[in-house]
Amino acid sequence: MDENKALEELKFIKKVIDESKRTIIDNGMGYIVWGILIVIGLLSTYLSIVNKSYFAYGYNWFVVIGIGWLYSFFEVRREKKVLPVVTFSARIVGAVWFATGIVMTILGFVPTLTGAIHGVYVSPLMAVILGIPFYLTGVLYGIRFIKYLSIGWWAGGIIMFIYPGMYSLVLMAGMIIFFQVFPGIFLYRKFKNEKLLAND
Amino acid sequence: MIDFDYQQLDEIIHSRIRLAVMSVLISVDSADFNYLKKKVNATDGNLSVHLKKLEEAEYINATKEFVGKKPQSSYKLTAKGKKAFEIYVERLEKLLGR
Repeated sequence: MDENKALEELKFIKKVIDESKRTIIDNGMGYIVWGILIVIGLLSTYLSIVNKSYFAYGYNWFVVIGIGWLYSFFEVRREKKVLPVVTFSARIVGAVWFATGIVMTILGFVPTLTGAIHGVYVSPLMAVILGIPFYLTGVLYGIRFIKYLSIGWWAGGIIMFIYPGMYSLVLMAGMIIFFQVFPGIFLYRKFKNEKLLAND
Repeated sequence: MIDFDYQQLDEIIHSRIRLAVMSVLISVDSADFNYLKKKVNATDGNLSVHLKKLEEAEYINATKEFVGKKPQSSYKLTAKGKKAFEIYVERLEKLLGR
């Protein structure tokens, strides 16, 4: 074996490793489904306050969050069976999102029900927390714009903390559409382009 | 041009397809047969032979399960395989004087 062959082999190894690491196995559906559910929750809360119809006030969140967790439970089970490859970055991203989901579920219900936090501060609190998993997802998947979405989440959180009000429900819904659902659609398209599944 | 002693390299890994399989598996947690086939650009039969060789050397682990009615094999690098791959790369670098 000569020097050129050894160098070529090292380059080959690096190329294969880089390509495999970059494989995106996140189909983005989690971002889209959870995003739509939260937007429904936020807007239904906003409308019930505006219309002073408190018939289902608060219960809407039990329904949307319950559906979200059910979806995640079945989706994770399905993905374990159908995904042809599991990358280390996808495992970390999945774990971070799961832990974030738990924290957000606790913060969404417990402090408001106990009165520890006024309801108007829930949206900014959620926004600053959401910046963390988006930042990590962007770094681990090597997608710069997803990393920078965290700045949007943190900036939105600061604005809603400084100027608390009813409008924050609508602002948060808008942020979710632009900073979560749209990136979810981007990931979905990227995943489809990878043609990882047998029927792709 | 310097001639290297290729015998210093692990002969189980020192094949284009097996090297590619090991390189894929070192960078992911696990991968199934079809994914590996696509990544290393090999035929079913050819890949099976190389995977068997890596399995026999205990460099990779295979898990077989049914997805629906289809059998599916998933492959993972073992600790022994990881060590062997690291040594292989180290030797290549050493040969190049890095």
